[in-house]
Amino acid sequence: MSNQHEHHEHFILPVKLGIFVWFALIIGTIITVLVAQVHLGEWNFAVAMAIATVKAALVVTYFMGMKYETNDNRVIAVSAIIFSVIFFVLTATDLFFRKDGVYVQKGDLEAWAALGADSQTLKFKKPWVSSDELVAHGKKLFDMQCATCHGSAGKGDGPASGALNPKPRNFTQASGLKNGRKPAQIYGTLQKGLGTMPSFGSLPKDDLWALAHYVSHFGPDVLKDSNADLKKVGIDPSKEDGGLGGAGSKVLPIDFAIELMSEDS
Amino acid sequence: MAIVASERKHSEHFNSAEHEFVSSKQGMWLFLLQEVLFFAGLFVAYGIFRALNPEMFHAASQMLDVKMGALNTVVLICSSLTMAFAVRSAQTNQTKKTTMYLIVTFLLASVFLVVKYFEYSHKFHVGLLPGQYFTNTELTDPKSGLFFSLYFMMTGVHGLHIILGMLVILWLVRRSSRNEFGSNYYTPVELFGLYWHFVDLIWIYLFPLLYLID
Repeated sequence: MSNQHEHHEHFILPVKLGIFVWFALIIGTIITVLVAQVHLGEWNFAVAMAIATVKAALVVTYFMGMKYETNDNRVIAVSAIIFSVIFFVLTATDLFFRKDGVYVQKGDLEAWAALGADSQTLKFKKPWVSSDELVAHGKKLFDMQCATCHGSAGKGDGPASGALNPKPRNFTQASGLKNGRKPAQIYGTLQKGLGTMPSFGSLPKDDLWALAHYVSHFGPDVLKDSNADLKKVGIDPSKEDGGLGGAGSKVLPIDFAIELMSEDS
Repeated sequence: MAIVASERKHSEHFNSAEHEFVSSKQGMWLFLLQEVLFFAGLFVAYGIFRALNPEMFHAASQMLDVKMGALNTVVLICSSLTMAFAVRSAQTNQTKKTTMYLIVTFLLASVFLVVKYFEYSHKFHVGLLPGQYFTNTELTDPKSGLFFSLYFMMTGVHGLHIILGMLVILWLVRRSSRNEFGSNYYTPVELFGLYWHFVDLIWIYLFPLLYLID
């Protein structure tokens, strides 16, 4: 019997309250449609969202019984709103306040797209041998993919570095890189990832080499790979393509997908 | 296997029926939390693309039928009320009424889908389709397909929630008709009610966002 008693304490929606809420929701809908016929400029959107939010609040408070809920469940409901707001604000901040030049440019995208499924060629011949073009290409990739954590000067002080522990490596120092700071060693780290640092193995192999050469340029001196170093990361310097074969897996970056979506439509 | 409500005992791993009910309900709220975040992805995409293409969104939105959208809003609000009454009837031991209100909720959901079917088939007919499939000539902005990508994705995922909800209602109707729900056990009805109101809530936002862009 005690169970039955407990159940009586649950909130039961009175018929009148239910009908009142329903009526308010219908009126809200009518007002929304009517207001949309009047031109208030930017206010139309604000008014429509305000009415929708009042309607949503009525549904949550009475139909879903939030007014009579436990505090646990209130926290869950409120956190749903907070998480959504964070989601929206951070996405919008990233998109609308990003520095010029950090966007993936259309030319890069087309170059990546050209490395499609039927292409097995690399953009650079013998990318394990450093060249000015490779380093310049590496800088472009670094600013896009790596500078957020490692900083655009490679000092490990990028905007996201504060949140990371251990801190991103400082490439201007002679020590601190666990796998070593020769280009081939950096190339290996890029492919496999290391601790908090994710793997970038989905990038084309020559892009990885360009990054490795660029990163090694931050150092106090630029080290050279021996043939043994190259063999360790699977490069056979005697072959024209170094045994690299394809250009890497054909994964498109998200930025690219968004760009394509808005370009095509 | 059917257990009549009055004879029901709580599962052994709960201290009491109340404990079982409270735990189940919390699980439902947590499920709804992830549902909110699931839809939030679509709403964020909508917000970003609308901010980038305000004129295109305005023009494309004019192609939607406000009357149909408003009708469906009213239909869903009514179904929320009947669902709330289904829960109430179970709580007050009026089992026959519970079954009746569940069936009415199911019928209203069917009306929603029929209206949506007419809307969709019209869009298909005049080439108001997502992305690269967009062939309508009335809209001149080349990006108009983007609006319809969002329209079909958002209303489609919402419609999928309606369809899955209808299947659950059928299951509830079956159980209710076997007197499995009553004042001391109505957890499935109440928890499904939460889900159903949530689906209504999403539509309350979708309607002005998609149909009423001024």
